[in-house]
Amino acid sequence: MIVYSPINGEVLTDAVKFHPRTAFIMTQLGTPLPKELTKIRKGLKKELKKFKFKQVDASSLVTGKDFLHKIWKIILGAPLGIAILTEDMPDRTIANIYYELGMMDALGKETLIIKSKDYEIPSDFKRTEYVNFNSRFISSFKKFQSNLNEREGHYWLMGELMKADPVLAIDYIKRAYLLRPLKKYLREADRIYNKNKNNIDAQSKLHIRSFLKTK
Amino acid sequence: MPKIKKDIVQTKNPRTGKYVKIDRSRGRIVDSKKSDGPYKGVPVLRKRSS
Repeated sequence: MIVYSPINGEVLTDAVKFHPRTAFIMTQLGTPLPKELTKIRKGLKKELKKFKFKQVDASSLVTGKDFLHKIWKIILGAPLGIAILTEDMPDRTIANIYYELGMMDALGKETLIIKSKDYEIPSDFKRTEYVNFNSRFISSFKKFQSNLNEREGHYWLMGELMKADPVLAIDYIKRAYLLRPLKKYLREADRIYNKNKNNIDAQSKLHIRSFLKTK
Repeated sequence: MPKIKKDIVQTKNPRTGKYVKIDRSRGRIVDSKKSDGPYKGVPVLRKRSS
């Protein structure tokens, strides 16, 4: 898998640290925050905890490096991105959120938009799943969780079906593992890797080895 | 009767709710259905056994 850095356009040749069952929250940070946003974050935090997902946002890690570099590294390692959008957010914040959402889609991550009732989603994101933060939020979010569980099963199955291309097979298994870190996923990826490592390119090996080191 | 290619199977992508056709022998997704329902004459795989 070839991944390009959004900072300098070069290929990523560092190891990626993967964070299973972690949701990257894309929203306005700092203060003052819109009241609706504070309510949504509180409600979401509670539901993610029940679903046994950790949440991280751009302020969660201190790396001393470029802010975008930090966001990109979090995105690479997490399986899920949740964007929170309300109509009273500044345009520049909304632009950053859509940039991050696009980045996550391009990297094969799961995405969800949680929005206030009156916020309208632009046309390029009409296919992105969204839920309104209203009285039905908990049941809508539960449906999304159940779909995420189905996706995990789908990626595991795809790992089997794509075995003729071991890099793709391992990548699908990695996606299943990041949604639910079962040991059998790591064992199977390790088995496929060891069986095919002489035919796997150096760049893919680097990425696969980073994944196999995940605990 | 149409001949069924053993290595071609289909499965439903839960993200889109649409079926994708896969050639197992090459490890390639060969088609993605635009409309609802499965492809005719192609075995459907739902879950990995192991």
